[in-house]
Amino acid sequence: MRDGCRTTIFFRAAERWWGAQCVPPLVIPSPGTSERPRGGDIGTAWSDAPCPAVLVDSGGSVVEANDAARALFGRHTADGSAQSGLPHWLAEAHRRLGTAGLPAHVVSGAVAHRTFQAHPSPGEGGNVVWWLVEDTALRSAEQALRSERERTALLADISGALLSSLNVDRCTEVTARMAADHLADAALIVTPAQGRRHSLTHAQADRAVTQTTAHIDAGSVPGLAEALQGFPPVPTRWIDPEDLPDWVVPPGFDRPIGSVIVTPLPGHGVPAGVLILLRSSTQRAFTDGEEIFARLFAARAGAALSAARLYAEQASITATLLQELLPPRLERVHGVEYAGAFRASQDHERVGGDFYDVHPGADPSKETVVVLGDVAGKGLEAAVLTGKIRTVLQALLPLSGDHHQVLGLLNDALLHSRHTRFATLVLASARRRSGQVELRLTSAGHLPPLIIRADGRVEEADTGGMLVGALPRIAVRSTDVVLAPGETCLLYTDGITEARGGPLGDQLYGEARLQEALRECARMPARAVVERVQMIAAQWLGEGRHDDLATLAITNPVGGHGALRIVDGHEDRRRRREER
Amino acid sequence: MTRYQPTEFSVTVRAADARTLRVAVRGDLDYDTSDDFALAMYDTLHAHAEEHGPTLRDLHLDWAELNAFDSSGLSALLGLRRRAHSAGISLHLDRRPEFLVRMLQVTGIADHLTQPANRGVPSSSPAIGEGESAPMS
Repeated sequence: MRDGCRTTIFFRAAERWWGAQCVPPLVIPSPGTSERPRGGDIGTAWSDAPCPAVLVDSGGSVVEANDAARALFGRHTADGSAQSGLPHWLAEAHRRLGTAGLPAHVVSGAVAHRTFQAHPSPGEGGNVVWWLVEDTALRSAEQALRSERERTALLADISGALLSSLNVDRCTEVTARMAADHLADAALIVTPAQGRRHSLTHAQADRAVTQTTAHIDAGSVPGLAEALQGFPPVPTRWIDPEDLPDWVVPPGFDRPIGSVIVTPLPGHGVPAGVLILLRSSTQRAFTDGEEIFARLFAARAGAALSAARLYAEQASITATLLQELLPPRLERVHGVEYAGAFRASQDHERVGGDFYDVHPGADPSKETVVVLGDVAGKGLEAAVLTGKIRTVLQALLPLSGDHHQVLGLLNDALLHSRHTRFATLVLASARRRSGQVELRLTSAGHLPPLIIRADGRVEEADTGGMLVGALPRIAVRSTDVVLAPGETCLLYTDGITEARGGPLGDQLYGEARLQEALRECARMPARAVVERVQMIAAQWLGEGRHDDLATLAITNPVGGHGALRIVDGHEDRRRRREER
Repeated sequence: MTRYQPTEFSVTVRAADARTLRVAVRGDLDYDTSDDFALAMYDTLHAHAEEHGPTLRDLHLDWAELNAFDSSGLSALLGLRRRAHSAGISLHLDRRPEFLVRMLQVTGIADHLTQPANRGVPSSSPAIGEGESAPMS
C-alpha cells in the first residue's frame, strides 16, 4: 500500500513537471519539437524543481534561473544578468552547443565543490535550458571505489612481492621500497634490536634503499619503543615532526618533514619491526584513510618479514645440525682403507637418522674404532639423539676393547623414561696385522655387516644384538672377521635396503639384491664400493623419496700399506671449531 | 608408469571380549603414521577399559596386511609394549610378514615385545620396561 501511495505521488510530481514544460506526460520531447519551455511561461514547477536549471539565450546570457540554480550560483547569477555567472565549463559547453548544433552531449563540471551533469534541452530562438543534475555523491563513491581498488591491488602486489622471498634483507628492502613508492615520501624500517643495535632500512622515491645498523634511542621517537614491543601504533597527530631525531630522516632527504606515521610490523607473536612513514611538509598530511591503509600494509609486510625471519632461523639451525652431522671424509688409517658415503634425505625434516664415525687408533698397533648407526625417528629430535650417541661413544673409546661394555654403557646413557626412541648401530674395531685386517664386529640391533670376499662371495657377519636406548638391559653377540687383501666389510643403514623403487616404483631394494650387487665389488677399493652402492640405490629409487642412506666400507687394500690419514675427521673439526 | 600408492594406514578392532582384544594394522607403519598408531592404540585400549574395566590380558596385533614397517614403527611398538605391560596386558604379534620378522630379528626385540606381562600389581607410572629382557644366545 505504501508503495502504491509513493507511486501516485511520483506520477503527480511528474505531471506537474511535464505540465510545466507544456509537454504531455510520457511523451519524451525529441530535439527539434516546438513545445519548448518559453522564457516567461515556466511557472512554479520550474522554480521549485529540485535540481538547478538555467535558461540561457543564444548569446550565452542567463535569461532565467530557478531557485535551486540561484542558490547554487549565488547572487551573481541570481539577477541573471551576467554571462560570467555561469561556470566556465558550462559557458563553454553552451558556446559549443550554439556552433555545433544539436544534439549535444551531457557535460559535467564542478560548482562550489560539488559536481554536476548539465543536460541541455533546446528552446525557441536559440534559448537553451540547462538542467544540472548533481552527481557529487556518485563521483565520490566512484573515487572511493577506485582508490579502494588501487589499494587492494597494491596490497596484493605487496603480498606477491614479499612472499616470493624468504630472505630477510630482501623482504625488508622490498617493504621499505614499496612503502616509499606508494604510501609516503620516505620510509624507514627499524628492526628489533640484535644485541644493542637496530638495523635501519631507509627508502625514498628515486633513490637506492640503504641499510645500516645503528645504536639508537627508541624513546626518541614517540611510539617507537612501544611499536618495537608490538603495542598498537600511536595516533599520527601525537607525533611532532620537529622532534624527530636525525637518524629517522633518510640520508639526502632535504625537505622538512611534515607528517609522520609510526606503525608496528606485526610478526608471529613478536613484532618483526616498525615502519616509519614520512611525508614532507610540502605535501598534505596523512589522512585517516591513509593511516589505516598504512597499518594494513604493515600487517602484510610484518607477516612476510616474520616468515622470512623464522625461515632464516630454521635454515640456520638445520645448517648447524647438518654441519655437526656431516660425516668425516675418510681415507687410509694404519694400512686399512675406510670410505664412507652419506646421502641425506632430500626432505629437510627427515634429516638426522644415520651417522658414522671413524676413530683412528693412536698407532698401528691400536685398533681403529668404527661406528655406523641409525636413530629411530627423524628431524631435530633424531639429530639431537645422534649427537648424543656420537659423543657418548667417543667418551667410551678407551673401553672399546670390550664392545659389550661400551654398548651396555651407551644403552644406560640413552635410556629415557618418557619415550622409546632408540638407535641401532654396528661397532667395528679394526687392526692390520701381518697383511690381514682383523675385525671385531658387534651389531646392536643393526643390519649385520656384509663381507665381500676376494672371490666374490658375500657373507653376512655373524653378529646380532638388541637395539640400544629402549630396554633396560641389552644383549649382543660379537664376531671376529679377517679380511684378506681385496676384501671389504660393508656397514650400511636400512635406507639402502628399504629404498622403495624399482621398475614399478613399489619394491623394496632388500638385502638379497644388495648382496647380489656386492658380488661385483670384490677387490675394489673402499671408495669404489661405497660409491657403487650409493649409485645402485639412487638408480633403484629413481624419483622416489628416501630416508638417509649411509654406507661405510672397511677394506684391506690390494696394494698393501698406504699413508695414514684421515681428512676432515674429528681432530680437524675440533680444530676448526676452536679457530672460530 | 604408475607410481607406488601406499595402502591407507588403519587400525581396526577385529574382535574384543573382556580378556582379549584383536586389532588389525593395515598399510605402512612408519615415520608418517607411527603417531597415528600410538594414538589409535591408546584410544582402543582406553575404550576397552571403559567398557570392561581393567580386565584385558591379551592384545593381539594382526600384521597380515602390513605394507611396510620402519624404525619409527618399532619405536611406537616399544611404546605400546611399555604401556600395555604397565597395565598387565601381554602383546601378541600375529601373522608377521617376512620384513617384520626380519626387522624384529635384526633388532633383537621380538622376545621382549611378546614377553608375557606380569599380572602383579599394575604400576601406574610407566617405569622403564619392567621385566627382564630375554638374553641373547
